[in-house]
Amino acid sequence: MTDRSFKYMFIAPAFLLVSATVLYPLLYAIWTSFHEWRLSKSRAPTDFVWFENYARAFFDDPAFLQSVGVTFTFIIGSVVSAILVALLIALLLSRQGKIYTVTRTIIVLPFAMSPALQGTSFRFFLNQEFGVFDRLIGFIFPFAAEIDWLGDSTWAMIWLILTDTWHWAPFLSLMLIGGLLSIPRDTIEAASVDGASAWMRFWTVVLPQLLPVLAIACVLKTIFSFKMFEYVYLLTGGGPGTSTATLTYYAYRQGFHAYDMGYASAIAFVLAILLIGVSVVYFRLLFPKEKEV
Amino acid sequence: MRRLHEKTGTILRSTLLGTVASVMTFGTALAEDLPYGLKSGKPYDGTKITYLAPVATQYEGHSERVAEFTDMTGIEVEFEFVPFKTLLEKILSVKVAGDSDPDVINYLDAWGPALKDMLVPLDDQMDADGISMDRYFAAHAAGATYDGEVYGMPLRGHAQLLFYRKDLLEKHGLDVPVTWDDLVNVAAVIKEKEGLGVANYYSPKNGQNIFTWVNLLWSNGGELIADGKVVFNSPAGVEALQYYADLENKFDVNTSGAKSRDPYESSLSVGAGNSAFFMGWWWHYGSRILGKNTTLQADQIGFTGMPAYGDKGVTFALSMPSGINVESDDKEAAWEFLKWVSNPDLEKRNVIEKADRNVIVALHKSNLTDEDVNEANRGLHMAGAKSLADSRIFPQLESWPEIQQLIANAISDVVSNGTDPQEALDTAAAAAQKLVDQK
Repeated sequence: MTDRSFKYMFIAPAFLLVSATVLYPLLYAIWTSFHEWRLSKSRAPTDFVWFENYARAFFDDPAFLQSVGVTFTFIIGSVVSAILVALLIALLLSRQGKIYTVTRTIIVLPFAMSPALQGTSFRFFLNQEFGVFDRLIGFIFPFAAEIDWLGDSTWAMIWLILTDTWHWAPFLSLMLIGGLLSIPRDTIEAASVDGASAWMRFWTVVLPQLLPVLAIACVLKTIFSFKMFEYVYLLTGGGPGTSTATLTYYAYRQGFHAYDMGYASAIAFVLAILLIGVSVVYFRLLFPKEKEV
Repeated sequence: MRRLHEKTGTILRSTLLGTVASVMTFGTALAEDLPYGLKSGKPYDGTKITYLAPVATQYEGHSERVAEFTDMTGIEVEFEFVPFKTLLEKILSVKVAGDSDPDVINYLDAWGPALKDMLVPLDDQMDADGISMDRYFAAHAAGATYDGEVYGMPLRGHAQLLFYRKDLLEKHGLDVPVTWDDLVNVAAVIKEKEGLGVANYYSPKNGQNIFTWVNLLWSNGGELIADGKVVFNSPAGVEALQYYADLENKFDVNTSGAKSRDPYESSLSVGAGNSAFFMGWWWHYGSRILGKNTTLQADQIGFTGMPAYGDKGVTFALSMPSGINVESDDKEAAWEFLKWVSNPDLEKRNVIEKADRNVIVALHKSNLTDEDVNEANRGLHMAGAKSLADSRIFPQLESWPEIQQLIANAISDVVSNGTDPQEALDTAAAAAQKLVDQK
């Protein structure tokens, strides 16, 4: 057996596994999106309808366009919020020592918890009658005691973002801690010797060197924010009204409530295209091609 | 001597024949005595079937007693419980895969039109075994019937009732509300004197906020869909929605948090002593309003029919029929199980034997008006029977679940965001009409 075929043999199991669990469903979803498939009438896709499902989404379904808007609002809020909190945690914990190591281990717990459990818990935390968060906030800020956190469109979105931040910030902070610890100490010390303030050292020395890790963290978080479903389903039910109904939640409803799998697949694929597009833009902005001299 | 032998032989033969005949007669009598139309002679002995049902005490009661069915028929039944929230997804996955398992499926009546092609019509079997849908209230029977054919036996079903703090109404000398205006007046007094309001729920989660509003709509003479045309945005519908929103924003009779609450949190609010009124399904009474985790005693809680908007109340009812999977390899055995599990005696035992669990749900007319049942449940079932007598169900459309969600979103939008009811319902109606028009 040649070396060439030998290496293919090694990757074959992984390739088969990925094909079966990722590639096949993805290709099937694309194929489905070009078909009529009403679960109420058929167990399998029926007529080939070209781009009808896509055209319906963009030209004949205001709810779809609204869910796109909600999704982007959530993405912007959750990415900014999670990255900022993660950066803050990383700056505080990017030191050597037992206490820091223990703290870094403990803060990963929210990321290890099931999103379903978190969604249910946060809904309970925010309940106006029984919720611990509601009571706590009302105690600290009495003017906020009467706010129905999930019954107000703006607050519902804010809490959706904060719940997601609570889940993601610890994990992202670990990425950033790794990035911070890999920055050569002498560059920071040189800036100190030159009289740079802490803020100047962070802004001009640390941040530029952390940028590649930050970029990866942003892309990763954006991808996961695009797919937001669990908290919408459990925390807000897409409401009040449709103010927190994201694209994935809308696709789910079209698939499992309206039984329109063809249309749901088209929405899901639009989501995938948006995701790829945003990722490309991110990398172009953060890693511009070096100009040839 | 020879005669004596012959005589003895004759006696012995007669005795033997008599014994055999007696045994045969006794055996036949035993077989014929199988109740509920179950087939005698265990023709499906050794067959194993599966039953998909949501998590609920009622089904736990069935599961606990299923050994009796196995003893009579030889059919083994495996219960597969899934949370109600994921039941539809599970059923749809069975449908897409064309699985023969589960053999018996419990589903929500509103899903029926979209699921009926995966279910076996039961009319012939019912006729053969003398089972009639007349034993159920019309709303529950209608929920299992599509295009004139019965696809399931109603097994779980609910009546909507108004639950109230009897002790507080008595304390302040107030009458039990009959109309919505009565409710507003009485609730205003209780809220002022006791600080406890109505545990209304406007969250659009799972489309459940429509359950109360639809009473207002029907009671006000409105309709959801008529002759294929969406009409819930009629003046009657708009007026009903305005009134429903006013309970929160104008009359201020609700307990705080109603905009984001769902029915489960609402009944818990009454059970925790934070609200004085709850309108919803009767099953909440057994586990959330009066349960082991609540603080109230039974004599503190009263129940009555839902309020009327005009002079006549019309109440929404739902049911969960159980049908046979069309792909099942054991349809006959599944039908035997359906006959047993839907029998009125089992239902009665389930709701009166309270030692292990507090089951509320019953559907047979005979049980709802039964003295023992009502004694064991403080008259709840008689109130349920009155409610169900004038109950209706949602339109039987394949796309109804999504239309329900559109209306739920509109209600939430009006209550939380102050959107004009006409505008909100018009938008929902336009989207709903597209769904109705889909062929």
